Amino acid sequence: MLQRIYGTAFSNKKDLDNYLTQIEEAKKRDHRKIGKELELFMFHQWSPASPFFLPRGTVIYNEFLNYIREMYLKYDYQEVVTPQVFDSELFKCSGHYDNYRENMYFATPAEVDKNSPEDLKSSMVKAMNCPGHALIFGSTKHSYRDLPIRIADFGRLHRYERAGVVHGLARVRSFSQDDAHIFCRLDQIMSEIEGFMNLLNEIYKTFGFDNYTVYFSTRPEKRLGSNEIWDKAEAALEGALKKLNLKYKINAGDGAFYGPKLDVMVTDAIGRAWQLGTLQCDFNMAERFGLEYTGEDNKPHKPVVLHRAVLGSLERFFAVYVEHCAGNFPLWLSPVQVKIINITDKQASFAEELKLKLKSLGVRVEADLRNEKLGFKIREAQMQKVPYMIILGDKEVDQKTLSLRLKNGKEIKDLSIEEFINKLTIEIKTKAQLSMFN
Amino acid sequence: MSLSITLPDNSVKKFEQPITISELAASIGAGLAKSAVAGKINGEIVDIRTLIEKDSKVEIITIQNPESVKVIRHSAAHIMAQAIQKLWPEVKITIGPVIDNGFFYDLDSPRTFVPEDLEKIESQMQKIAEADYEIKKEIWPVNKAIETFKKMGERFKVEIIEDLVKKENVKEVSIYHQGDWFDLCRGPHVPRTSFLKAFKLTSIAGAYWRRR
Repeated sequence: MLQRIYGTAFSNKKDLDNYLTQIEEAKKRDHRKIGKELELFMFHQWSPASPFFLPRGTVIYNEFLNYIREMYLKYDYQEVVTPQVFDSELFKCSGHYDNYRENMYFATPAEVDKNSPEDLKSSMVKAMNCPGHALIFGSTKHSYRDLPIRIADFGRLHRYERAGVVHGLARVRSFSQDDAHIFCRLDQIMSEIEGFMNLLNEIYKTFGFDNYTVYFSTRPEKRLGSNEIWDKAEAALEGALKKLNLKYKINAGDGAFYGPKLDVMVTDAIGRAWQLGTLQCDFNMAERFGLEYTGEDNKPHKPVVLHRAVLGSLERFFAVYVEHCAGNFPLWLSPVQVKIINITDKQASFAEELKLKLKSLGVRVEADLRNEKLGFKIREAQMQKVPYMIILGDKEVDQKTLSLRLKNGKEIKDLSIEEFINKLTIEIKTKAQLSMFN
Repeated sequence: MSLSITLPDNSVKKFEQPITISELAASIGAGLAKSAVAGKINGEIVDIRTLIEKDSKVEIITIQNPESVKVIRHSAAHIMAQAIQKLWPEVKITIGPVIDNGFFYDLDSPRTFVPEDLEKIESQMQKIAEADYEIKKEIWPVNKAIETFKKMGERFKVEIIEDLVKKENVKEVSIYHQGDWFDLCRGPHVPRTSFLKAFKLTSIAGAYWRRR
C-alpha cells in the first residue's frame, strides 16, 4: 500500500487563496451535509445510489416541478406520462440497445402468462424518454401546420452507474429530468432555439443563476445527414444566439453524429461552473422511427427532433441548488415557511388560529407549542433555516399583532396580521430571492 | 539556414540558427524572458530551454497565462518529493502527476504520514523554492537510468523504465534535476524552483501501485 499526498499550486498567492477559500466554502455547502442537517433526503444500501427524498426534500422537489409546469403552460409545451418498462424492441429501434445497453436495467417478470406472447419478450426499464415520445408522435398523422409539437415528460429514468462514480445526488441511478422533445420543421429550428433560450433565461433568473455561458458544438468528422442540413441547422442555432445577444463559445467538431448542440454552463454563488441546460438537434430519430409530416407540397417530410432540458436531472439540480444557496432556500422553496412559537400556554389557541389562517392561504406553517424555553425553540427553527418565526406573547394576543423574527436574527415588532400575510403571499407568489421584510 | 518563428499575433521572427524558447523571449523583451514559465511549439507545451529547430508556431507561456499553472503544479510535485526525501530519506517515490485543481505524489514509506507532517513538508518545500535551484533536463540511456535508480533502491522507477523499454522500445529517458535531487520525468517543468510561489498540501490518502 502506498501513501498519496495531495497538494495544489498556483502562479500567485491570490489565486491560491481564492481556491482555498472556495474549497472551504464548498465543504460547508456540501449538499450531502446540508441534506442530512435539514432532513431533505437519504440513501439506503438496498437501493444504492438512488435517493429517497424525505418529506421536506420532497416539498422542494415538487416546487421545482410545479414551477417548470407553470413555464410549460407559458411556453406551449404539452406534458405526457409514459410507461416505465418497454419491450426491448423499442430500444433496438432507437439504437440504445446497441449503444447504451450496459447502462440499462432489464426487467423481466418472475412468472409470465405463457398464453400471452408479449409477456415472454425481454423488457427494459427506460433510461431516457425520447423513444417513447417518438411513439407518441408516430401514432397520428401530422401536417406541416401542426408543427412544432413540444412533448414534455418528468418520467423516472434509471441508468446504471458504477458504484465508484456516484456522489450524493450529483450522479444517481434513479432520477427524472425536465425533459422535452420538440418535433419541428427545419425552418422552425431558429425560432425554437430562441423560445428555448428565453425559457432557460427566465428559469435561471428565478433561481438566481445570473451568469451562464453557452457552448455551441458543431459538426464532427463522422456524421449523419447532408451538409445542407448541417449548414441550415448550425446557422439556425448560431443565428438564434446572435439574435438574442448571448455570449457563446464554439466547440468545433464536438457535436453528436446526429446533430449540433448547445450546452449551458451556469456559475454558482461561489464561482463553480455546472452544466445544466442542453439542446440537441437530432436528424436521426425521425429516420429510425419512420416519423413524418405532410408538407405544404403534400409530400412526406422528416421532422427534426430537438432534445432539450433546462435543469437536466432534477436530482443533480437539487444538489447544485442546495450548494448554490447553502440550504438558505428562498421562501417559495422553503419546506417550512413560517414557524409560530408561543412563549407560554396562554397563547396556544391564538397560535392555532393563526396557523389555520395561514394554512388556508396555502402557506407551509408549523406551530411549535411545546413546553420548551423560547430560546431553545428559536434556535431549533434557525437550525432548520425557517425563513419566518412568529413569536407570540401576551402582548401580541391582546393587541392581535405579530412579533416577527427573521432567520438572520432581525426582529419586527407590532406587525399587523394583514401586512404580514400580504407581504408573505407576495413573496411566495413572485418567487422572490430576498425577504420582503429585510 | 534560416528559421522563421510565427508568434501568436501572427508576426514572424527570423533567426539564423536554432534558438531556445528563453532566447526567443529575451529577443522580444527582458520582462517577457523573466516571466516565461514554459513555451508552446506547434501546440505542444515544452520547457523554456527547448531548442526550436525548424519553422514553427511558438507561444511563450508566462506566469500570467492560465496554462502555466499545469507546469507549475508538475514542478510542485517534484519539489514536494524532493522535500519528503530530504526529511525522510527512506521514502521511495513512484509517480506524481498533475490532476484537476492540483497534483499528488504516491510514496512508499515505512512510516505513516500524519496531517502534521504536511506543514513540515511545506516548509521544506519553501526552502527548496528559496534556494532557487535550476531545473535542468538531461537525456540518459536507459541502462544508465536503470542502474542509477537500482543503486538508490528506487525500485518503482526501475519498473517504470523497464516497462517503457518493453512496451515502447524506449532507448533513452529524460531526467529532471534540481539541486542534488532528480527524477525520471517527461516534463515540462518551470526553469527554476523559485517559480513555486503559491502552494499548499491538502490531504493524505492511500493508493495502490498500478492498482495492485
